[in-house]
Amino acid sequence: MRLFHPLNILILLSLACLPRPSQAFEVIKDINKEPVEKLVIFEKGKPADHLSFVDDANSKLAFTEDGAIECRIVGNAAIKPLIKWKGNGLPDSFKLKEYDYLIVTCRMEGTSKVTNGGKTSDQRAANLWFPVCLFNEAGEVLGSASLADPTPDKRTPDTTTVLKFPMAQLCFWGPGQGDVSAVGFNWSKTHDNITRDFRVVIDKIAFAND
Amino acid sequence: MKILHPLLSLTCLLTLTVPSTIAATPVGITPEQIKENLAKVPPTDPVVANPPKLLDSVAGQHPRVLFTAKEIETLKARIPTDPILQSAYEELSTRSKKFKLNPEIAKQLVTNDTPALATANGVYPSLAYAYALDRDPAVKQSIIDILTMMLNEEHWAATAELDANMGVACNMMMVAVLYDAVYHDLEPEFRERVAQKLLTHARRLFYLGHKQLGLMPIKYWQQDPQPNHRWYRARGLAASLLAIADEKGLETGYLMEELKKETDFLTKWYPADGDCHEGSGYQAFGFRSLLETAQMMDRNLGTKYLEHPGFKNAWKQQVYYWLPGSGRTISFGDAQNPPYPYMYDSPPFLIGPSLTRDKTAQAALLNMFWQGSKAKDGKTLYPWTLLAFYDPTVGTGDYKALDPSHLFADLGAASMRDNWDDDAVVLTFKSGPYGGYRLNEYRHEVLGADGKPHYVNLAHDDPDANSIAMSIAGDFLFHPGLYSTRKMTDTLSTITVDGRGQVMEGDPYTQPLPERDMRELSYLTGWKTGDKGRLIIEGEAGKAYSYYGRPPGTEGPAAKDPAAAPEPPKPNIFTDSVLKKFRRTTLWMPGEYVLVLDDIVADGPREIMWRGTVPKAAFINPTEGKCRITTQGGKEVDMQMLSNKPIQGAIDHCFLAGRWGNELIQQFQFPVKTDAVKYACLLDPWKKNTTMTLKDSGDTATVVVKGDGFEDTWTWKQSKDNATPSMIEGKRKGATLIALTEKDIAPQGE
Repeated sequence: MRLFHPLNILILLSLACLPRPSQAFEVIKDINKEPVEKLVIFEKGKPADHLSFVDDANSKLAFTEDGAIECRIVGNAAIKPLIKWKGNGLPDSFKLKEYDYLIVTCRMEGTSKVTNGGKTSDQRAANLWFPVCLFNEAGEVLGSASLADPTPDKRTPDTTTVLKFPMAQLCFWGPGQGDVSAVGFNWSKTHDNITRDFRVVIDKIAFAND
Repeated sequence: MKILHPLLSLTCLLTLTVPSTIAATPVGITPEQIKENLAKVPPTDPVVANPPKLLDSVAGQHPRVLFTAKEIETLKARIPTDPILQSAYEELSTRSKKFKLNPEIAKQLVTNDTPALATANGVYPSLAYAYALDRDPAVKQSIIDILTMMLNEEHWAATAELDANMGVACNMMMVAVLYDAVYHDLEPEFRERVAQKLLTHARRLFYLGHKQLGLMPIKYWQQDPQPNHRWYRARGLAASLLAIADEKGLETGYLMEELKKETDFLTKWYPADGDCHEGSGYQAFGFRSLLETAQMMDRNLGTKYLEHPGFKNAWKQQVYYWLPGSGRTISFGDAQNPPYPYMYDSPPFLIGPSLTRDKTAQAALLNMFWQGSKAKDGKTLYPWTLLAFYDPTVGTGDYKALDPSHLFADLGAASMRDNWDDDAVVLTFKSGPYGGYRLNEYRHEVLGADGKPHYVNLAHDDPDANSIAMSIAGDFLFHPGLYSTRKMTDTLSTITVDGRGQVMEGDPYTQPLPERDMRELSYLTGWKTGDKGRLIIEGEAGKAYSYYGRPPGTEGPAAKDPAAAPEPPKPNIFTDSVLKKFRRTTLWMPGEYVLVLDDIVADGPREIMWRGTVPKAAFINPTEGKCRITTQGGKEVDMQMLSNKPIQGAIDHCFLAGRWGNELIQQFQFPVKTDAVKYACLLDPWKKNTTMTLKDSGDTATVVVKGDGFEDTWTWKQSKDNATPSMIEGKRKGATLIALTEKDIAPQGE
C-alpha cells in the first residue's frame, strides 16, 4: 500500500483538522506525601562521635544526659553555633539541592529577661525568630528559617516538635546553591536591655526527600 | 519681613535654650551632617507678588486647620442625634480627660517614623477635637504640654532625612492642629514661639525635602505625585502654613505659593478612581493625608480640590478588596492581607458618601466599621476620626445592594463576588501596568531630566499581571500574597516561563522598567457584564515576560576568589518577551462556577508553568484533571484543570515571605514544554458538581461545562491580535449566557 496515496493524505488531513480532546495531566510531584529520610545527621540515643561543635560562651553546645544536643543561649550577643559531622557514613558535604527537606526534632525552652525602667521581666514572643541554618565549609549561611515557620500556629515550639523545613522555605533568602557541611543557628545581637536565657534541645537532625 | 528679624531670632534662641532633659539625640546623622543640612536652607525665601491668601472668613480666626468653629457647632448639633457620633464623642472625651503626657514620647516622635505615625498622626490630633467640643481646661493643658514638649526639640526629625521625613510631617501636622485648637488660649509669647517653630519646620521640610536639598541621597518620595510619603509631607506643610499664614511678622507667601503648586500637582495626577496601585493596605495608609490636605486647602484658601472624583471614589478599593467572612483583605501589592484593622485611617473613606450622598456606599463602609472596629473583648471601638468624616445626614442604605463587582480602570483590575455576606465567594483579577495608568501618564508626560520617562515609585507593586486571587467565606482559595519582601511572579496565581516571572520581579521594592512604556506590558483587553451578575474579564500580559537586569547567569553573587581582581559590574540588558501572547479570560458565573481560560503563545519551545497558589492542594483524579483546594478553615472547593497539550501536574511548596510574617502554603503547578498551549481551569465553589471538557481546533476551542441543572457550551475564539478581546460566547439550551465580543474593550485608565 502506498503511504502517500491521495486518499491517505486526505484522511490524515481530516484527522488533523478534528477537534483535539482535552488533556488532563500526569502527576510528577506531590508534597502531601510524607517525606522520606535519606540522611540522618544526628539522632538522640545513637552514637554521635562523628559530630563536632563550634560554639562560644553565649551559645554552648553539649550533649545532655539522655543523649540529645543542647544549645544553651545566654547574653545578648550575636551567636552562630554549628554542628558539624565527619565519618559515620555521612558525606563531608552535599549539594543543597540534593534534598527536599531539613527535618529537625527540637524544642526551645526559656525566655528573654527584658529590663525597662529598672524593672526586669521574663518575656517570650510567640515567634522568637530564632533561625535554624545550613552552612557551608566557610561558615556562610546557605539557608535559614525560623523555628516557628513550619509550625501551624507560627509559634517557636517550647515542647519537642518535628519541624520539617522545605528547601523552598529554607533557601528563600540564601544563594540557592552550595555545599552543606554544617547545621546550626545564626541569631543576631539583641538590644542591650535584653538578656537571652534559652535552651534549645535537639533530638534529631535529618535530610529527606519527597 | 525678614525671616531672621532680631526679635524672632531671639525667640528662636529662647526656644533652643529652653531647659530640657528629654531632647532627643539624633539617630543616624552626625552633628556635622546636621549642620551641613541646615546650611542648605536659605536664610530667606523669595518674595512673591501674589501669594495665595487665606479666605476672609478664616483670616484671623482659629480654629481653621482641621475644622472651623462653625463646623464644630454643626458637629455638636449632630452628636446627640446619631449613636455612632455620640459614642465616638464619648470615647474621645473620656480618653482625652485621662490623657497624661509621657515625656519620653518626644524622643520617639523625632527619631522614629513609626511612633510619629501612630501618635502624632494617630492619637494626639484627637485632642484638638476634644478641646473644641468640650473646652475642658485639662485637655487644653495637655495640648500645651505637647506643644511645650515639641518646642524643646530642635529637630522634629533628628534622623538621616533631617527634618524632612514622614515623621516630621506627622509632627508638624500634630503641632499645627493643636496650636490651632488652643490658639486663643495661648500666651502671646508662647504662641509666637510655636508659630515660629512651625515656620522653621515648614521651611526645612520644603527646602530639604521638596526641593531635595537634604544630604540623604535617596530621594524616594519626590519623584512622582502618588507615593503616600509625599502626601504626608503635603499635609504637614499645609497644616503648618495654614495655621500661621496670617501671623504678624512671619513671611509665608513663597511657601504658600509652593504649597498650592504642590497640592495642584498631587491632585492633578491623582486617579479618578482614587485608587492606590500599592494595594488597599497602602491606600488606607495614605489616603487620609491627601484628603486632609485637600480639605485644609479648600477650607482656608477656597480651592476646590475636594471636587476631584478620586475623593468620591476612593472608598471602593477598600470595600471591594475586603472579605466580610474573616475581616481580611484580598489585595494585591504590599498588603499583608490581615484582618482589616479599622482605626483612625479608616473613617476618611466616608468622605466618598459624604460628597456623593450615596447611602449604599455609606452602608458598605459602616458595615466594615461595625465588623472591623473591635477591641479584644469584642466591644466596638469608635476611632476619633469618625467625628471628622462620618456624616450621618447622608443616611444609611442597604450594603447588600452594592454592585457585587467593580472594575478599577486605573489599576487594570476588578473585584467580583456573589454577595456581600460572610459566606461570599470573591474573585479578583489584575492585569494592569505597574503603577496604574495615571502614574504612567505622568511618567510619559513629565519626562525626567534626561528626557526619558520619569522615574516613578513602584516599590510596593507586584509582578502580578494576569493573576487571580479568590476566597470563600473569608478564607483564601487562591492566595493574594503578602507584603512580599521579595516580589516574585512564581508566588502568584498566574504563569511563569522557563522558571522566570514577569519583568522587574525579584526585588524587595519593585523598580520601573527603564525607558519603556509599562502600559504595553500588561493591560485589560475585555470587560463584559451580563445578567445575574455574570461577567467576563480578560487581560493580556504577553510582553510582561521580557527581561531587564544583569545578563542571565550573572545575577547571583559573584564567586569569591580573594586572589581575583574585582569584576566590573555587568551593564543591565533588556530582552524582548519570550511570550507572544498570554491572554487570560475569566468567566464569572456567580452561583454556578468560575472558568479561567489561558491562551499562551511563546517564541519557541518554552517551559510554561501554570501556577495556582492555595492553602492546601490535592489531586483527586489526575486523568480527568480533578483537583481540590482546601482552605485554612477547612472549606473544600473542587477544581478541574485541562489543556490542549499533555501537561504535567505537581503540588509543591510555596513560601510567601512577608514583611509582617511568612506563610508556607502550597501551589498547583501545571508545566508543559511547548510553543503554544491553552489551559482551562474550572472552579466549583458553589458545589454544583461541575465537570468540563475541552476541545481545541486551532483558533477556536470549545469548553463544555456540566453541573447540577445546567450544561453550558463555551465557544472560545482566539483574539486576532494583542489588543482585541477574544470572542467567547456561552450558551445554555441554545440561549446566550454572556458573550465577549471584539467590541467589548476594557477601559484602560480614565
